[in-house]
Amino acid sequence: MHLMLSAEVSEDDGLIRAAAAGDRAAFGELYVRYARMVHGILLARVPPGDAEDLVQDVFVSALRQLGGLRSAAAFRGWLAAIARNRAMDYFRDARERAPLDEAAERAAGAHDSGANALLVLDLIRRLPEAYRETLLMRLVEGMTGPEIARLTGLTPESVRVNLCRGMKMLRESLRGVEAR
Amino acid sequence: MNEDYLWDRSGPPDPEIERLEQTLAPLRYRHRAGLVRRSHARPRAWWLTAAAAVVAAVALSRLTPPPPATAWQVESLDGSATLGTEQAAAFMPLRAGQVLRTGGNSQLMLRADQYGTMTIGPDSELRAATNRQILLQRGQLHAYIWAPPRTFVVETPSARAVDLGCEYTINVDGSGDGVIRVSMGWVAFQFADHESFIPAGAQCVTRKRGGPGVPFYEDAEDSLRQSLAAWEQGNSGALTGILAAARPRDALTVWHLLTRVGDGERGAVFDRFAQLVDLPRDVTRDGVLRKDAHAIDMCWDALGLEDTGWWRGWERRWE
Repeated sequence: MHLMLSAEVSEDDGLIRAAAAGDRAAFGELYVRYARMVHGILLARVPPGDAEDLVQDVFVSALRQLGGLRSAAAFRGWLAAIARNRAMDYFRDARERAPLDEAAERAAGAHDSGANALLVLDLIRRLPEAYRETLLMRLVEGMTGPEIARLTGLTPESVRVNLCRGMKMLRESLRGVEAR
Repeated sequence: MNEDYLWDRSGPPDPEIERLEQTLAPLRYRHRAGLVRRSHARPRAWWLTAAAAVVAAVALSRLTPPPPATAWQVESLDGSATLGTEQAAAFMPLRAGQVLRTGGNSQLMLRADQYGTMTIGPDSELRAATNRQILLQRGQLHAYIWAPPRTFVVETPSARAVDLGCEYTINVDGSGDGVIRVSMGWVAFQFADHESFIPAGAQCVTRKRGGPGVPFYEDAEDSLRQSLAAWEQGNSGALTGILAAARPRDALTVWHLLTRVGDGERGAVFDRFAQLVDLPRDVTRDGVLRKDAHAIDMCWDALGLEDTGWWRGWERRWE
């Protein structure tokens, strides 16, 4: 498993270097590989209806700045930082709009299957940041722990701890909701 | 808690985690028709609304600056065209919400360095909602896009064309029906839960209330094209003609039919599909008949059009 992961990381690094040199196809491939990670990070912060659009923004922004990236190894943390900054900008641009939008979505979904999803999302968002992002990548985006480690640059051990502790806290929160 | 399942989905599934995965699935990265933002306007007295509209219109006409320019600007113009109320000319920007109209026998090219070029044919009408969302009301649009896949979309009255890194032409007639021809790369054509994947060399029609049709290669036999057109217009008997005329390359068309036909016809479609492509042993007829997403996925992979890794990041709503 470790060998496979390191081969994939090395393949990603090749793509990152090619994309930084202006290879659009390589950038497209990076987009395919990293979009779910970026979406997970955004979903931890912004209303679901806007997270998908912001994924595009994050990659357009990354494409513009990629030439200035010093090393391929820095790409993962750098892309995640762009996503977190974009989420902050979102609230800076529309500080009053965002909570209303989210409330509207929650209300809109009150009678469909999206309502439960929004309820669980809300509980996950109350967890500590490290658990929140990792759990969303696992439970929403369908990524496995090893994939999360490879794409985020975190060690597999950290991801495993984040998943287990985050899941434990989420279960407790769910029990609290059910008990009400 | 089964930590192995949480970690990499190995070992027996943890029922609570499985339930959470299913609950959260609507939020997964993909086009989500079910979670679009809805309007929540409250009822008001009609006169208050009307008065507000008049005041707003006057205020807007006097105070509002022109809408922001998008990244698109006129690269070249052959013939005549208007941007809003002005005659179009080279280097003019296309502003958000502004309507672009081309005259008869005219052609206009727009360029955005970060996105690509669009050549607009005669008697066309479009407007840009944003840098990456263009609404083609009628006419012809030829797009050559170098932005990352899925960054750029063209909306038409009957479907949304999502660029997956490619070159394509969309024609929309006065009724809102259209056809898309892909010359390089891929386009996903979407409407609500209906989706078609169109590779280079293929085309797909779309109807205003029916969404995207079933894609077919331009070199397909006439009999396949005619049968497909008849089937899409409601003649279910034409399915036999499609299956009979399909060559191995037309497995693309047959694959799309797997999820479009009724339950009673899926078996015949699958049997023909299995004759046209080499299916892995893991694909079972029962799985496909149940529209099992993994089985349909494996059928797609058997087409040999792109490897699974390429597609993994794209949304696919098979059901």
